[in-house]
Amino acid sequence: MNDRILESELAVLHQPLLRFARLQLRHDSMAEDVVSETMVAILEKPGNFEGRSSLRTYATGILKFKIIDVLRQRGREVQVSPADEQSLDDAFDALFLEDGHWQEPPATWQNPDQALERVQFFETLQVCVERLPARTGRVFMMREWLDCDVDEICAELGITSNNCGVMLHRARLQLRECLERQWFKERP
Amino acid sequence: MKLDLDCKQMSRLLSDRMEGLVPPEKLAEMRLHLAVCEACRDVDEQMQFLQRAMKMLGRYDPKG
Repeated sequence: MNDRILESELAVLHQPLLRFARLQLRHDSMAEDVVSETMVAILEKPGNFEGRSSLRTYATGILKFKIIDVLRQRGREVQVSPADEQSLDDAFDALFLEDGHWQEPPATWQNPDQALERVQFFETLQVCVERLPARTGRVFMMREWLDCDVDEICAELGITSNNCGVMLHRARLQLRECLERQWFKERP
Repeated sequence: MKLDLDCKQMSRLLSDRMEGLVPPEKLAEMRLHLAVCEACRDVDEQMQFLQRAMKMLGRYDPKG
């Protein structure tokens, strides 16, 4: 791929990459920095992109490493909004009756794997992740998108493994709810 | 049948299991609950689906 084509393809990727970085870092200027560093890294060594994966996959892989670096340096400086986290606690409690049964049993999703072939599904998933409170969203993204293990998340964010388990559980249930409401119930 | 685990506890254990944090003795109790509770089976499948979807997030091509 010549330099001009690489530059123009990277320009197209700028906004999507920025959106992911913001989703993870919840900080605009830090997100812009990691995306810029990712693009510079690719442009400095274009030969490293061998075309075995798409440029998007390649750039996303580099971006993940850059984000992990930032989290290591600044991981504990997460902006926490107690109100947001409280609203997630309330939403979680509302899912269950006092005896621990589901308030409203979750619906069976029809052919969920078909959704994985739809761009719109991933846009919906991204919107749902963006709605998670900042701290919960960061823990969830570290686990499921950056593939960090729990010990690593706890160390980076200065939380206990039980705390981490609570946040992952609540994130998964909220995302399950959100996908059911925004995608699966809309497309029976 | 009376189950030791309720659905609220189950949903936490299903999540913890994805991190490999469930002690082996709990796994049998979870299997029993899943055998008789369709709602928790759905949630189990949906959490695993969510994990697959998250692995793909960022890789899909909007032009595709």
